[in-house]
Amino acid sequence: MRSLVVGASAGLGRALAEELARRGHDLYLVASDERDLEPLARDLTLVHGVTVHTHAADLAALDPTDLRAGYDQRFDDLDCLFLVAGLGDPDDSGSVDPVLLDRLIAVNFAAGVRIVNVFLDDLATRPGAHIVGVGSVAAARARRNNSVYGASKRALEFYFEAIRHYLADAPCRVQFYRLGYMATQMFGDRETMLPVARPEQVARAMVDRLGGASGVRYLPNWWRWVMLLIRLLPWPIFKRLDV
Amino acid sequence: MKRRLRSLDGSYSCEADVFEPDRYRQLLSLGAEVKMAVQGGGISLTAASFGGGARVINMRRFNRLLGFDPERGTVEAEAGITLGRLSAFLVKRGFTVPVQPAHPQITLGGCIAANVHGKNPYRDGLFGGLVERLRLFHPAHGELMLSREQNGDLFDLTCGGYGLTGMIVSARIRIAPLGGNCCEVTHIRVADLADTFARLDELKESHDLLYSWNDLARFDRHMGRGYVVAGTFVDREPAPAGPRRLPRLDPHRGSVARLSLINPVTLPALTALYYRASRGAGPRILDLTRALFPAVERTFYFSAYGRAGFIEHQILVPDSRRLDYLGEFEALVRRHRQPIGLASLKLLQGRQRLLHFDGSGVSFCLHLPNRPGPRALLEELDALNSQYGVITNLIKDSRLSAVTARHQYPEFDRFVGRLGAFDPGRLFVSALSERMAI
Ligand SMILES: Cc1cc2nc3c(=O)[nH]c(=O)nc-3n(C[C@H](O)[C@H](O)[C@H](O)COP(=O)(O)OP(=O)(O)OC[C@H]3O[C@@H](n4cnc5c(N)ncnc54)[C@H](O)[C@@H]3O)c2cc1C
Ligand SMILES: NC(=O)c1ccc[n+]([C@@H]2O[C@H](COP(=O)([O-])OP(=O)(O)OC[C@H]3O[C@@H](n4cnc5c(N)ncnc54)[C@H](OP(=O)(O)O)[C@@H]3O)[C@@H](O)[C@H]2O)c1
Repeated sequence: MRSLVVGASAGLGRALAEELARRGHDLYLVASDERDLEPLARDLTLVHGVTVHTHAADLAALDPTDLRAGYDQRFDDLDCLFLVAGLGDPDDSGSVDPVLLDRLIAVNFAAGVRIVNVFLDDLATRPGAHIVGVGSVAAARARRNNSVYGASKRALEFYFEAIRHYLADAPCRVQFYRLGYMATQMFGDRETMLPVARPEQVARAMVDRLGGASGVRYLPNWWRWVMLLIRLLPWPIFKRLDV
Repeated sequence: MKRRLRSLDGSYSCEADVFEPDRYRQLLSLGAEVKMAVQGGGISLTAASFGGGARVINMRRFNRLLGFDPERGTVEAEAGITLGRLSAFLVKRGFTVPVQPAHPQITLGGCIAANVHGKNPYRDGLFGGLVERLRLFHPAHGELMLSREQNGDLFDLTCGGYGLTGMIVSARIRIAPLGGNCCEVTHIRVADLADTFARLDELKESHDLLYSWNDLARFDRHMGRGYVVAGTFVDREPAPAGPRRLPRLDPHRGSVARLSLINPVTLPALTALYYRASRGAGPRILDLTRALFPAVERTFYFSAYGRAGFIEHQILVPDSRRLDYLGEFEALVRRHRQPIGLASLKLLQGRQRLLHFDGSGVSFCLHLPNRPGPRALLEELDALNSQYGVITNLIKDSRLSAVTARHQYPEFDRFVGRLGAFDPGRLFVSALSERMAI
């Protein structure tokens, strides 16, 4: 199996790369900084004996054909595409600085769509192929914080639904995850009463589900009940919440 | 993130701002505005990786293997890699790190910075001896490559420099072929400490593991009885399985036992039971995890001293004076009648320099409840140690004063001077460096 992981240098993406390598996948890892990708590639190659190539690029300025060409130079076919990269920002509320706004949309939405787009035709016909996207519970109900992030993740989910529909009769599976809190740099030091998952645990669950049905899932699964509750909250109450 | 951090011996705790960089741009852009402490596993007995008002930079995400050369016998890794992870990789390939302290959560960076010893330091030397080269980052100097040949002075200061020269980012170390897939361990009975010296002398060249356990919680003619643990790697088919779960050692959560289960009243009975349970045991086959990391399943022990914790006092008594010292040591222990929780002896061979716990002699590692009585005994021991040219391991003893350490380490001021010359702003600090007035 060959997997491409976008956003592989840290957090969930790194945990996913480690889990995939443990299960014998050859890997093509994408993130912005080669200084992080190269040691990870060396580690995975040494420990698991898999072939790992890296591609350093800023997703906000990514030329997807470059990525595709880079991949094709290293490997023949792609089995699994994981779109994990994401970007959040504490200033993403109300009127957002335009540069930040563009970046949030580019990293969380546009880059994902562009990358799926350049691999789609090949993945569509490939038995056992997967396109896996990562969203967030932040996109389940709109709120004043993380407004552009949440909207971009919702847009990405919408795009994944479209792709799922497009591939409904194809062998390629399309899986999308609405993730809850994870102990990574993105979550940072925030205080919460809810349990925070380890990225390794989430990565394992995602890899375990390869071969499973297409569709949208919460991870960890109990978030579906929390979000159901939040979605059902009447507006007069919801608008008072500091979320 | 603000966190409460505690030393493993429970004697020191403080709130600290902890940062866990997970990308090189975060690590290498750290500035020199605030004092920093570098943290590896964070499980040292004394507060060496936090304190002193420092922002703590935890290296645990920099834990990747970078190279493995079986022909040359070297491995290269980022400094936050734990010995557990490194060992799991090497053992599968028939290699081991010849010098390893007793817990798998200890990191490569922590081993270099404290220049630690392993299970037969007489034969294997100290960890610093394994290091071929390392990458150091200091905000005022940038990234530096250090080896004996390149920036030799700084290399020398960093191995055993307690994290005060900067952050060790990665290192290449020498490894050795592993002698077998498990370890044959024999407990050899000894009558007292003098007998222990003799047994250790006999076995020091021939064993991969060599240390003792002695009962110093009794003051009669059996004081010091115990056994020498002598182990050799061997091959057995099938190899015994290791522990299914490795309990996590997390001193920062605080003591689990509010009551001190190990205290001067319970100690004589506990050590007598321990002696009875272990004596006369014939050769046993131990899996590699338990042999390489004997403390791995003893997580509870460290909190059983209760809230006040314990003091680990590890000293190195020069060979030439060990019998004279022993007489005075035993007399002092008998006079104070403070039961000692753990007493373990090892032999070392080397030359004492800078702040390294090194030299040719016998090391006594003692655990005492952190109470006024045992502390009074230790105060007197400090004075005795100074008379005999004995040194105390700085990474272990949380109560040792700067005055005593200065007196014991002839090159103390040389270390401070060289460190000051490299880093006049003294950016890296810890509770240990503050206590030592470094
Ligand atoms: C159960 C147990 C058994 C032990 N057995 C032995 C033994 O047999 N022999 C022995 O010699 N010691 C032994 N020790 C002591 C232990 O080896 C040292 O305290 C070691 O330094 C702990 O490593 P750590 O990764 O937890 O480092 P920490 O506790 O995090 O730090 C220790 C020191 O290393 C520095 N440091 C850590 N990482 C870096 C880095 N990347 N760059 C620069 N500086 C760094 C810190 O600043 C600090 O000064 C034992 C400790 C325990 C808890
Ligand atoms: N953590 C949470 O609580 C949480 C909750 C819900 C959903 N999620 C989602 O889970 C996914 C993983 O998040 P995480 O917590 O693992 O985040 P993380 O630790 O910040 O890691 C993000 C990854 O994305 C990469 N990335 C970000 N911006 C990039 C860019 N412009 N160009 C290239 N790569 C870029 C990062 O690499 P470089 O920065 O090195 O380039 C890194 O590898 C994201 O989609 C996030 O939205 C997270």
